[in-house]
Amino acid sequence: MKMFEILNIFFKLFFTLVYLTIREQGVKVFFMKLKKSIVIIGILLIAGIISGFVVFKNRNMLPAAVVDSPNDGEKIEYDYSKSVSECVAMEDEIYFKDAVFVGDSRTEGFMNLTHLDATFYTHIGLTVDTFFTDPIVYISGEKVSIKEALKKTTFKKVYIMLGINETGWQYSELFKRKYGEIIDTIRKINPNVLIYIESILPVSQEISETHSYIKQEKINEYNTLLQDLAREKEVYYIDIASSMKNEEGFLPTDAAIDGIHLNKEYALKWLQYLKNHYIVENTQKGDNEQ
Amino acid sequence: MKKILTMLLCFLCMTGCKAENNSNIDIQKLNEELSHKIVFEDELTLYEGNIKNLYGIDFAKSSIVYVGSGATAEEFALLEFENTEETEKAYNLLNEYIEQRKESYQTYNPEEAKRLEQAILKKKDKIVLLCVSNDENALKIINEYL
Repeated sequence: MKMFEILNIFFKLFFTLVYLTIREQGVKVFFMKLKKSIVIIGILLIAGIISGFVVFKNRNMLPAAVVDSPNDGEKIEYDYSKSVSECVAMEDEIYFKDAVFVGDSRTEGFMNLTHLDATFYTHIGLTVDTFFTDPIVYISGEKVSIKEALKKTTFKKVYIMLGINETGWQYSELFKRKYGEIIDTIRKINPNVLIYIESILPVSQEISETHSYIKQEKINEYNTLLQDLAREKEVYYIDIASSMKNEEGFLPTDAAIDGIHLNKEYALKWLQYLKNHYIVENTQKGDNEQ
Repeated sequence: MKKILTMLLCFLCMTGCKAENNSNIDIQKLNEELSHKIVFEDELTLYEGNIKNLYGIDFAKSSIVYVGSGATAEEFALLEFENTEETEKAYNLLNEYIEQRKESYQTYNPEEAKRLEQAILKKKDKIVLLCVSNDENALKIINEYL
């Protein structure tokens, strides 16, 4: 129906209503009702302007990226070589309730300081090797490796941050290969899982210059490899590291007392970054889990 | 008969007095005292998660646990249990926990492994206390209360 016809019908109805009101209840009542209607319309207009302003302000903030699940069998239109882009922040933390965080002592610190309601499989000194071998997780009263623990865990998402303890390794490709094996293992355990590779957080300049093997340059190299791995394995790369660097490319000195493990302020920044960068996958055609 | 009743009454009173002398330690008050006196290098935060994830203990009646950022091995825990059997079980689990932490830190950060050598693990009544810090006075302070 054309716009002209719609407007035509609207105005006919409006003036019919006006005529009937005046005829039945008088002019005075008509103007009283008109005054009330104007007030209501005014409130709705102001609300609309404010909403419009908010939408306009956030016009560049996309909702969480919604992509088809890789198991739908259809080609996914998502550029896995790119880091997950910023989106409208989550209002709460329910998104993480079915997530498992796998990591070393830095993720352990994140768990301790943010009190995030999620599952954490973390250990001091955890590496891409010991993910498979070291019994560190309590399951049914006994300690098992993270690999074994995941088999007995219900989860829909995994966040992985590993690499700082491997910066002393001689062969960077070995680190990438082992990391890839972790992704393959997780997918085998849970084919529908949404996997995030978190970039390795930076360290302070002092640590980079004085530590025997932890060097920012090596961390940067590993992060480049991880972004490439995300593309190869079609998993999501979250570049938290970039948000934690100062102008010189290091972790700020006020971020960690030892230059490595984030304090509460920066752990909360880490969490906020995750709440601003996330993915929602359709597990069925046309079904938006958001 | 009167003599027996009197003796029984006296016995019950004595038992009652003894029970009062063995009154449970208030871990909230104990925490308030200790947390202000023991010095930690790292910024410890009250742990609000499930302590089962930390220590494998899911039977504590109540707990107050402070954990760090990971920069050091420092932590502080006060756990209360229903009975002495559970207290003993928790004490042993925490002992194992300290040993495993020492082993992990040995290769990862030997300085922290040394700190764990000085870890204070004490039990009294139905309370278990764990304190890992570099404060030389920590043991003396804790001994004043436990």
